[in-house]
Amino acid sequence: MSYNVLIVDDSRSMRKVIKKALNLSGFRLGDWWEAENGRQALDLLESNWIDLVLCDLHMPVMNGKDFLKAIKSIGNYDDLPVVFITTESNQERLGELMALGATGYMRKPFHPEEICSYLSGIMGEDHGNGMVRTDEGCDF
Amino acid sequence: MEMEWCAPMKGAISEVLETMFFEMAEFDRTPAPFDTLYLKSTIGLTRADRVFHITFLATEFFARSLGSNFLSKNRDEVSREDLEDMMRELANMIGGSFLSRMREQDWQLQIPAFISHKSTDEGVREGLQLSREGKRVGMVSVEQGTLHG
Repeated sequence: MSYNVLIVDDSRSMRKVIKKALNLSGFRLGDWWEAENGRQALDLLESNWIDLVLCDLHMPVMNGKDFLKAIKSIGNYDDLPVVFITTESNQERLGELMALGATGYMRKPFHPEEICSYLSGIMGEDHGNGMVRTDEGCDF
Repeated sequence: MEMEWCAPMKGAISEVLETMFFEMAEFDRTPAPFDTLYLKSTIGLTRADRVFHITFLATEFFARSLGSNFLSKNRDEVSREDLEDMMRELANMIGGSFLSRMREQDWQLQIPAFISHKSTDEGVREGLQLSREGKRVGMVSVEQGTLHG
Protein backbone atom coordinates (compact mmCIF):
# COMPACT_ATOMS: atom_id res chain seq x y z
CA MET A 1 0.00 0.00 0.00
CA SER A 2 1.28 3.46 -0.83
CA TYR A 3 0.21 6.72 0.75
CA ASN A 4 -0.94 9.95 -0.83
CA VAL A 5 0.83 12.79 0.91
CA LEU A 6 0.21 16.52 1.10
CA ILE A 7 3.31 18.57 1.97
CA VAL A 8 2.55 22.02 3.36
CA ASP A 9 5.50 24.38 3.70
CA ASP A 10 6.12 27.94 2.52
CA SER A 11 9.62 26.94 1.42
CA ARG A 12 9.67 25.39 -2.04
CA SER A 13 13.12 23.99 -1.29
CA MET A 14 11.95 22.33 1.90
CA ARG A 15 8.96 20.77 0.15
CA LYS A 16 11.32 19.30 -2.39
CA VAL A 17 13.72 18.06 0.30
CA ILE A 18 10.89 16.41 2.25
CA LYS A 19 9.66 14.66 -0.88
CA LYS A 20 13.18 13.54 -1.67
CA ALA A 21 13.63 12.29 1.88
CA LEU A 22 10.40 10.29 1.62
CA ASN A 23 11.55 8.68 -1.60
CA LEU A 24 15.10 7.99 -0.42
CA SER A 25 13.99 6.58 2.90
CA GLY A 26 11.79 3.92 1.40
CA PHE A 27 8.51 5.41 2.55
CA ARG A 28 5.76 4.16 0.25
CA LEU A 29 4.86 7.42 -1.39
CA GLY A 30 1.91 7.37 -3.77
CA ASP A 31 0.62 10.60 -5.23
CA TRP A 32 1.74 13.80 -3.59
CA TRP A 33 0.68 17.42 -3.51
CA GLU A 34 2.33 20.62 -2.35
CA ALA A 35 0.86 23.69 -0.68
CA GLU A 36 2.56 26.92 0.34
CA ASN A 37 0.27 27.56 3.30
CA GLY A 38 -2.73 26.25 5.17
CA ARG A 39 -5.23 27.95 2.89
CA GLN A 40 -3.88 26.22 -0.22
CA ALA A 41 -3.77 22.95 1.72
CA LEU A 42 -7.46 23.22 2.60
CA ASP A 43 -8.30 23.68 -1.09
CA LEU A 44 -6.25 20.62 -2.04
CA LEU A 45 -7.86 18.51 0.67
CA GLU A 46 -11.29 19.27 -0.73
CA SER A 47 -10.52 17.86 -4.15
CA ASN A 48 -8.02 15.06 -3.55
CA TRP A 49 -7.77 11.84 -1.55
CA ILE A 50 -4.94 12.38 0.89
CA ASP A 51 -3.72 9.86 3.47
CA LEU A 52 -1.20 11.98 5.33
CA VAL A 53 -0.43 15.68 5.76
CA LEU A 54 3.11 16.87 6.55
CA CYS A 55 2.85 20.45 7.68
CA ASP A 56 5.13 23.31 8.64
CA LEU A 57 4.06 25.50 11.54
CA HIS A 58 5.28 29.00 10.74
CA MET A 59 3.82 30.06 7.39
CA PRO A 60 2.27 33.23 5.99
CA VAL A 61 -1.41 33.49 4.97
CA MET A 62 -2.52 30.56 7.16
CA ASN A 63 -0.08 28.97 9.58
CA GLY A 64 0.00 25.33 10.56
CA LYS A 65 -1.89 25.79 13.82
CA ASP A 66 -4.79 27.58 12.12
CA PHE A 67 -4.80 24.97 9.36
CA LEU A 68 -5.08 22.23 11.98
CA LYS A 69 -7.91 24.06 13.73
CA ALA A 70 -9.67 24.49 10.39
CA ILE A 71 -9.60 20.84 9.39
CA LYS A 72 -10.64 19.69 12.86
CA SER A 73 -13.61 22.07 12.73
CA ILE A 74 -14.74 20.70 9.37
CA GLY A 75 -15.19 17.22 10.75
CA ASN A 76 -14.51 15.21 7.59
CA TYR A 77 -10.85 14.76 8.43
CA ASP A 78 -10.94 13.31 11.93
CA ASP A 79 -8.91 10.29 10.86
CA LEU A 80 -6.45 12.18 8.67
CA PRO A 81 -2.96 12.14 10.23
CA VAL A 82 -1.36 15.59 10.40
CA VAL A 83 2.32 15.54 11.27
CA PHE A 84 4.21 18.78 11.82
CA ILE A 85 7.73 19.11 10.49
CA THR A 86 8.90 22.24 12.21
CA THR A 87 11.74 24.21 13.73
CA GLU A 88 9.56 24.83 16.78
CA SER A 89 11.05 23.37 19.95
CA ASN A 90 8.92 24.98 22.63
CA GLN A 91 7.22 22.09 24.43
CA GLU A 92 4.23 24.18 25.42
CA ARG A 93 3.51 25.23 21.86
CA LEU A 94 4.08 21.70 20.57
CA GLY A 95 1.76 20.44 23.29
CA GLU A 96 -0.92 22.84 22.05
CA LEU A 97 -0.68 21.28 18.59
CA MET A 98 -1.08 17.82 20.04
CA ALA A 99 -4.04 18.98 22.10
CA LEU A 100 -5.63 20.38 18.96
CA GLY A 101 -5.38 16.98 17.29
CA ALA A 102 -1.98 16.84 15.61
CA THR A 103 -0.81 13.26 15.15
CA GLY A 104 2.82 14.06 15.91
CA TYR A 105 5.76 16.23 15.05
CA MET A 106 9.31 16.04 13.82
CA ARG A 107 11.93 18.69 14.24
CA LYS A 108 13.84 20.28 11.37
CA PRO A 109 16.67 19.58 10.66
CA PHE A 110 16.08 15.87 10.19
CA HIS A 111 17.77 12.84 8.68
CA PRO A 112 15.83 11.18 5.83
CA GLU A 113 15.70 7.84 7.63
CA GLU A 114 14.03 9.51 10.61
CA ILE A 115 11.12 10.53 8.41
CA CYS A 116 10.49 7.03 7.15
CA SER A 117 10.67 5.44 10.59
CA TYR A 118 8.47 8.02 12.18
CA LEU A 119 5.85 8.15 9.45
CA SER A 120 5.74 4.40 9.06
CA GLY A 121 4.90 4.24 12.75
CA ILE A 122 2.22 6.87 12.32
CA MET A 123 0.70 4.91 9.44
CA GLY A 124 0.70 1.73 11.50
CA GLU A 125 3.64 0.01 9.88
CA ASP A 126 6.68 -1.42 11.59
CA HIS A 127 9.82 -0.10 10.00
CA GLY A 128 11.88 -2.02 12.53
CA ASN A 129 14.74 0.27 13.42
CA GLY A 130 13.91 0.82 17.05
CA MET A 131 12.55 4.31 16.74
CA VAL A 132 9.66 4.93 19.08
CA ARG A 133 7.13 7.70 18.86
CA THR A 134 6.52 9.51 22.12
CA ASP A 135 4.62 12.60 23.16
CA GLU A 136 7.88 14.49 22.95
CA GLY A 137 8.73 13.54 19.39
CA CYS A 138 11.08 10.76 18.34
CA ASP A 139 13.32 8.63 20.50
CA PHE A 140 15.98 6.33 19.16
CA MET B 1 20.17 36.14 25.25
CA GLU B 2 22.68 38.99 25.04
CA MET B 3 25.39 36.89 26.65
CA GLU B 4 26.92 33.61 25.63
CA TRP B 5 25.06 33.10 22.39
CA CYS B 6 28.12 31.92 20.51
CA ALA B 7 28.31 28.38 21.89
CA PRO B 8 24.65 27.48 21.24
CA MET B 9 24.85 29.21 17.87
CA LYS B 10 27.87 27.14 16.87
CA GLY B 11 25.96 24.03 17.85
CA ALA B 12 22.94 25.13 15.86
CA ILE B 13 24.96 25.94 12.74
CA SER B 14 26.85 22.67 12.92
CA GLU B 15 23.66 20.65 13.35
CA VAL B 16 21.86 22.32 10.44
CA LEU B 17 24.78 22.36 8.01
CA GLU B 18 25.82 18.78 8.72
CA THR B 19 22.32 17.28 8.79
CA MET B 20 20.62 18.99 5.87
CA PHE B 21 23.48 20.43 3.79
CA PHE B 22 26.20 17.78 4.22
CA GLU B 23 28.69 20.52 5.01
CA MET B 24 31.08 20.62 7.97
CA ALA B 25 30.98 23.91 9.84
CA GLU B 26 34.33 25.55 10.47
CA PHE B 27 34.50 28.60 12.70
CA ASP B 28 37.09 31.33 12.57
CA ARG B 29 37.54 34.04 15.18
CA THR B 30 39.35 36.41 12.85
CA PRO B 31 37.05 38.94 11.24
CA ALA B 32 37.76 39.50 7.59
CA PRO B 33 35.86 41.34 4.91
CA PHE B 34 33.98 39.53 2.22
CA ASP B 35 35.72 40.10 -1.05
CA THR B 36 32.86 38.89 -3.17
CA LEU B 37 29.11 38.93 -3.59
CA TYR B 38 27.21 37.60 -0.63
CA LEU B 39 23.65 36.70 0.23
CA LYS B 40 21.85 37.64 3.42
CA SER B 41 18.82 36.27 5.22
CA THR B 42 17.40 36.97 8.65
CA ILE B 43 14.90 35.69 11.18
CA GLY B 44 13.43 37.42 14.21
CA LEU B 45 13.13 35.94 17.69
CA THR B 46 10.52 37.66 19.80
CA ARG B 47 9.42 37.57 23.41
CA ALA B 48 6.89 40.13 24.66
CA ASP B 49 8.28 43.44 23.42
CA ARG B 50 11.82 42.21 22.87
CA VAL B 51 13.23 41.11 19.56
CA PHE B 52 16.53 39.73 18.35
CA HIS B 53 17.52 39.24 14.76
CA ILE B 54 19.66 36.36 13.62
CA THR B 55 21.32 37.28 10.36
CA PHE B 56 23.04 34.76 8.15
CA LEU B 57 25.42 35.81 5.40
CA ALA B 58 27.04 33.54 2.86
CA THR B 59 29.23 34.19 -0.11
CA GLU B 60 27.47 33.32 -3.31
CA PHE B 61 29.97 30.52 -3.88
CA PHE B 62 29.23 28.98 -0.48
CA ALA B 63 25.48 29.49 -0.82
CA ARG B 64 25.55 27.78 -4.19
CA SER B 65 27.42 24.83 -2.66
CA LEU B 66 24.85 24.59 0.10
CA GLY B 67 22.01 24.85 -2.41
CA SER B 68 23.56 22.16 -4.56
CA ASN B 69 23.77 19.78 -1.59
CA PHE B 70 20.37 20.69 -0.22
CA LEU B 71 18.48 20.34 -3.49
CA SER B 72 20.61 17.63 -5.11
CA LYS B 73 21.30 19.83 -8.10
CA ASN B 74 24.47 20.73 -9.91
CA ARG B 75 25.90 24.06 -8.83
CA ASP B 76 25.00 25.74 -12.10
CA GLU B 77 21.43 24.42 -11.91
CA VAL B 78 20.76 26.21 -8.62
CA SER B 79 18.70 29.23 -9.57
CA ARG B 80 18.61 32.59 -7.86
CA GLU B 81 15.12 31.72 -6.59
CA ASP B 82 16.52 28.45 -5.17
CA LEU B 83 19.27 30.39 -3.39
CA GLU B 84 16.90 32.90 -1.86
CA ASP B 85 14.48 30.20 -0.69
CA MET B 86 17.31 28.10 0.71
CA MET B 87 18.79 31.10 2.54
CA ARG B 88 15.42 31.74 4.20
CA GLU B 89 15.10 28.10 5.22
CA LEU B 90 18.67 28.08 6.50
CA ALA B 91 17.92 31.06 8.74
CA ASN B 92 14.73 29.32 9.88
CA MET B 93 16.46 26.08 10.83
CA ILE B 94 19.43 27.80 12.47
CA GLY B 95 17.02 29.99 14.45
CA GLY B 96 15.00 26.99 15.56
CA SER B 97 18.01 24.93 16.51
CA PHE B 98 19.51 27.92 18.34
CA LEU B 99 16.35 28.44 20.40
CA SER B 100 16.20 24.77 21.31
CA ARG B 101 19.66 25.17 22.87
CA MET B 102 18.83 28.25 24.93
CA ARG B 103 17.65 27.93 28.50
CA GLU B 104 14.95 30.54 27.99
CA GLN B 105 12.17 28.66 26.23
CA ASP B 106 9.56 31.33 25.62
CA TRP B 107 11.09 33.01 22.59
CA GLN B 108 9.10 32.74 19.39
CA LEU B 109 10.49 32.34 15.89
CA GLN B 110 9.19 34.70 13.24
CA ILE B 111 8.97 34.00 9.52
CA PRO B 112 12.43 34.27 7.92
CA ALA B 113 13.22 36.78 5.21
CA PHE B 114 15.75 36.99 2.42
CA ILE B 115 17.32 40.43 2.52
CA SER B 116 19.41 40.88 -0.59
CA HIS B 117 22.40 40.17 -2.66
CA LYS B 118 25.11 42.63 -1.61
CA SER B 119 28.49 43.44 -2.94
CA THR B 120 29.97 45.08 0.15
CA ASP B 121 29.95 44.02 3.78
CA GLU B 122 29.61 47.42 5.38
CA GLY B 123 28.20 47.05 8.87
CA VAL B 124 28.21 43.28 8.94
CA ARG B 125 31.70 42.47 10.21
CA GLU B 126 30.72 41.57 13.78
CA GLY B 127 29.61 37.99 14.25
CA LEU B 128 30.48 34.35 14.17
CA GLN B 129 32.71 33.77 11.18
CA LEU B 130 32.32 30.69 9.00
CA SER B 131 35.20 29.47 6.92
CA ARG B 132 36.01 26.67 4.55
CA GLU B 133 39.52 25.63 3.67
CA GLY B 134 40.84 28.80 5.27
CA LYS B 135 38.59 31.18 3.37
CA ARG B 136 35.80 33.14 4.92
CA VAL B 137 32.51 31.96 3.46
CA GLY B 138 29.88 33.22 5.85
CA MET B 139 28.89 34.89 9.04
CA VAL B 140 26.11 34.73 11.60
CA SER B 141 25.21 37.58 13.91
CA VAL B 142 22.63 38.05 16.67
CA GLU B 143 21.52 41.62 17.26
CA GLN B 144 18.90 43.22 19.42
CA GLY B 145 16.31 45.15 17.46
CA THR B 146 12.88 46.66 17.72
CA LEU B 147 9.52 45.09 17.07
CA HIS B 148 8.22 47.90 14.92
CA GLY B 149 10.47 49.58 12.44
